[in-house]
Order: sequence, then structure tokens, then C-alpha cells
Amino acid sequence: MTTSVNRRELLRTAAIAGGVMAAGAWGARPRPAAAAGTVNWLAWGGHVEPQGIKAFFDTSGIRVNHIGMSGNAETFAKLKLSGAGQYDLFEADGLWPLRYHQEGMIEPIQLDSIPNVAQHMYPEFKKIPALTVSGGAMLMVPWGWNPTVLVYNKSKVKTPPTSYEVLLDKKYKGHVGFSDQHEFLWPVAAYLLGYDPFKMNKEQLGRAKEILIQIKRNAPTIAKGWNEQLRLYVEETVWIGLSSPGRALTIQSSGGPAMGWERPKEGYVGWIDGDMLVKGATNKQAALAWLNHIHSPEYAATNFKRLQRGSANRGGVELMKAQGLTEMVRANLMDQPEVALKMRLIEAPANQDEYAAAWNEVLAAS
Amino acid sequence: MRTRTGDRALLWGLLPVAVVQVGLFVAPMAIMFLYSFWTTRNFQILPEWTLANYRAFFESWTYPRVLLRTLATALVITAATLVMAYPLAYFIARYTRRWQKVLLAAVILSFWTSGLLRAYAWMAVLGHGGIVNKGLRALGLIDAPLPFLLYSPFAVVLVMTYFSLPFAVIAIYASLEKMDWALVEAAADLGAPPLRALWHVTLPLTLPGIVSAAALTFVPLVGMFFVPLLVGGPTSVMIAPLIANQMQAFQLGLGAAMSFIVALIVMLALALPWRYLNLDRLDR
Repeated sequence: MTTSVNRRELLRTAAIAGGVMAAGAWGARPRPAAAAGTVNWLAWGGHVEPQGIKAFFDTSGIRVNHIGMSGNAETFAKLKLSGAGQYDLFEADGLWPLRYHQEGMIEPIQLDSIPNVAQHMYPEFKKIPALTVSGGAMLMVPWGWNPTVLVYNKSKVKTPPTSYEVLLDKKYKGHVGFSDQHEFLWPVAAYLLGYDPFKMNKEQLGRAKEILIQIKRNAPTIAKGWNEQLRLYVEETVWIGLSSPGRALTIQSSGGPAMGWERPKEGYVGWIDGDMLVKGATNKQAALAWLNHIHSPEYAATNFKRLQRGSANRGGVELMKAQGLTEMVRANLMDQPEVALKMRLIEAPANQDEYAAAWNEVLAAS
Repeated sequence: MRTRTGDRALLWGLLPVAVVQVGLFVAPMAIMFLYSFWTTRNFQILPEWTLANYRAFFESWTYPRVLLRTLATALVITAATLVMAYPLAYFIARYTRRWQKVLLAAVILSFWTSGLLRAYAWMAVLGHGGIVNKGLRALGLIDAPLPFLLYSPFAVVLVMTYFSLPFAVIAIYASLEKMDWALVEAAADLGAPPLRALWHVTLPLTLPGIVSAAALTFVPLVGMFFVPLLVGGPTSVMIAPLIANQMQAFQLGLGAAMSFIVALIVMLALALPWRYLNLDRLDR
């Protein structure tokens, strides 16, 4: 049997195929803001509990459209280029919300207007001075937090490290953790040199760069993201590096060695992450309803049990204790919110271009 | 003689290709070319014309050194790939009439899974806790994991050779497949030993296939992003991850300039064989 297709049929088929592909591409985009009952949520994957999204839909009829996000600088760059209007909520760390606020991309929120936040959030997180604007509204609804400290394999690093200098020690060559998360690495060099981690000028960056290159030479690889770092610790390729108390625990519970953690004497940075409301968000009420839902003790407890990090949600922490997870709560400092407020929070450097150029030179160095 | 209707039909037929090519290749490239001459400041790309991005690339030794390292690595891997691919393609084309399709399918079998997955599989094989190190330890041959197996230039060459091999085998096979083997037999009849016949008859006649294989291997290697990132060491970064890093940090101007410098060098590298090996003559 032979089949013949004439030009008209071919073009028609191509047009239909093109239409289908275009429709598919349209469908893959975030839902249009005009769609009622939808929240477009640009958030880190770790914050997503699929069962929580389903439960929210079942009770409210609002669909949560989650879009995964990457690091702070990358997300800021993307939103600046394409606009934030396609989302209702998005997330950031530390003092990055200030940058979004300066750009007029977000709308401050009165936290007590969200019932679950009013009832279940630690009071310390409701008034973070740097993130509070006039009238007491906050730029972000805080979610989790962590200090970035020194973590180490107890069987390989016999003396608990107290200084970042340990990362430069040749004794640990090939076993020092070094990741692509440069906003946590610049502070190491800055603290060793006595500089402000996020306000280094070009000359200071040049000196800090040399320190990071030395640390890089002590590392087996440049780890990409937390999961790869976890593997490196678990299989004992990396013995010492930067992470959080909760993650030291995760390494052990993932079959890795016994881990310890120490606060470096030079100082350390940390982050508090959370959700921000897009200025003029079309689905504002739905977005606030979703924020209310995730700040329920049940959603928070489910998420923090999995993530193992500090939590801004006291209700969730109390629920975890009631479930017999007191040890996990303590190990992650979940019941010590005051620690979060004492940390130096990561922020966007004003001279971001110079930081980016210096980081590239760190990566490129032999 | 082509009729006017025939011409129109040809143009209509080419339209989808032209739309796809312009929309998905030419237009983005043109935008990036513009960006390479624009200024990036404070997370914004501004239409302020400058050569600063190209100057920045050559200003210090940092970026040219990474580019040279990348080109050298790609050359080594291309050579290794060709050395392995040619005998394999030769064997399939010459001695496996019955099993040819099966063997060719086996060569391209690796394409059936994601490249990222395969790179992770190699990490599982070569890592400190991987099967090679575990096996050698179990045999009592080593006390500690071999440090060069993963996160090293060795790992980059090994894994990228593995990735390139199917492209090279297929390209060389295609050339061997259409070769007139009677010429090899004639050489043998005239007293040429097999190696001499290979050197003076088979290799020259399959040179277009070898060059295609080299191009199909070399070009993707220069731009390879995830393999060097995953299995490479901290001090042997290649150019593609560095370009990606520029883009992620919104240094679009410098990132675009770096991309075009690399593209120019790759085009030159591809043009050289055609200029000096006179491949057109062999293709006829």
C-alpha cells in the first residue's frame, strides 16, 4: 500500500502540529493570572508538600501552581528580566527582600492579618527589624532559617574546628567541601580577612578571591547543590565544610558518619527564607489563603520533619514535640528562634557585578 | 527546467524549516550577539555599545587559559574517541553482515537514556564509594580509594569519550559502508599487506567519515556543560560551565561575548580540515 500526501495536506498537518505544540507550550507556562482560584507560587522545591497542596485544593477549591526556583541572585535576575507579574508569590533568603522592595516588585504584608501566622509564628520572626517597613508590615512571611556553620566528620577531624582556617589546612586536602553557593563562601574569606561579607570593594574582593581559591584547591570538586554535598559527606569524600546543624544530622541519618558542628569564632552568616507577595498580584486573596494554609502547624511540621532546619512556626515545632520528635527539634535549633535573630543574614551586595566577576575567577583558577 | 509552480512548491516546503531556523536559532543568536556588545549593570542589560565584554575576556589570563584547557581536553578526547571508534566501526562494517543492525543498535543504545543519568551512573562507578574502589578494596589491592578516578581530568576524559563514541562510530561506519572494498582487494592482489592497504587505501577513502566523526565529537565537547561540572575536579573547570555561570549571575554581556569567541574558534577548527584535506574531492 502506498500513501501519498500532497502539499496542502502536509501544510495542514504541519499547521495542526504547530498549533498543538504552541498550545502545549502555553499550557506549560504558569497559569494565567486571570484564572480564578489559582496561586502561582515560585518557590524552592523543598517547601512543597504535595499532600498539603491537595488538601488546600480540597478545602478551598484553589489550585496551587508551583514553579521551582533556584538561587537568590539567579531568581532576582530572571524576575528583573521577565517581570514578576506572572507569579503571585515568590521566595527569597536573608535580606534579599530589600532588593525586591527597592525595585518595587513586592508588597509588604501585615503578618497578623493571616490567621495562622498570627497564631502560630514565633513572635521573634514577626518583627525582623531589617525586613519591617513603616506601619509594621513585613516584606516577607518567614518560613525556615539556618545558620551556616562548620560541619565535620568526627572520625576524621579529631579536634572540633573553631575557625575557618581549618578549610585552608593542607592536612585536609581533597576532603574540604566547596560548593557553587558562593553567597555562603564569600563570608568565609571576608571573616578571615576582617571584611564585611556583603560589602567588599573590588580590592577586598581580590584578596578574598585568593582565599577562596586556596580553599577550592583543598576540595575534591565543586559540589552542585545540597544533594551532591550530602553524598560527598556520606561516602566520606568530604570531611569538613560549611552547612547547618540540621544537615549534619541529615548526613548521619542518611547512612553517613557521625558529624559534629561548630560556630566559627570569626563569625558566621545565616538565612531566613520566606514568601513575598508580588506587588499588584492578581490572585492576592488566593495567595494569602495559601500562605495561611502553609502556616498551619500540620503543614509546617510535615515540611520541617523532612527538611530538618530551623522553623519560624512555633505551632509546627510544638506539634513535632508532641509527636515525639524533641531530639530533632533541638538538634535543628527549632526551639531557639533567638539564634536566628542574632545571625548576620545573607544579602545582595550592591556591587553584584564585581562579586560575580570575582566568583568567576575563583571558578576558573587552577 | 523547473516550472514556476515547482519553485513555489519548493518555497512553501522550505517555509516551516525557515521559520524554525530563524525563530529558534538565528533570532536568539542575533540577540546574544547584540548583548555581547551591550553593557550589563546591576542586573540590567543596557543598550550602551561597548567592546568591554570582549576586552574582559582577554584582559587577564583567566579566561583564555580556561578556553585553551577546554580546547586541549576536547582534542585529547576527540583523538581517543577516533582511535576507539575506527576499529569498532571497521569491524561492524566489514565482518558483521548478519549482526550489523544489532551491533549498531548496541552502539546507540546509550542514547536511549538521559545524558545526565549516564553521568551520574559514572559517578556511582568511579566515586570513593563506587564499585571500582570497592572492588579493588575487596581484592586487597588498595587501602584507600583511588583519588584520580573521579573529580579529575582522567574522569573528564573517560566519561566524555564514552559520550562521544557513538557519534564517531556512526559517522565512520557510514563512510566505511559505502566504500568500494574491491579497491582493498586490488591492493592485496598487488601485494600490499593488510596494514599497508589500510593506510594507503581504506583510511584515505574514509577520511570524510573520520573528519565528520572528529567534528561531531569535537564541537559538542567544547560546549559540554554537565559532564565536566559533575565529574571534573575543582581546578580544571572548562569553558561551558563558566559561561553558564556568567548567565546565571546575569552577566549577559560577558557571557554572550565568551560564547561567540568560543563559537568563532570552533568554526575555524571546522574550516581547517576542509581547507587543507581537500575533502570535496574525496566526497565526489
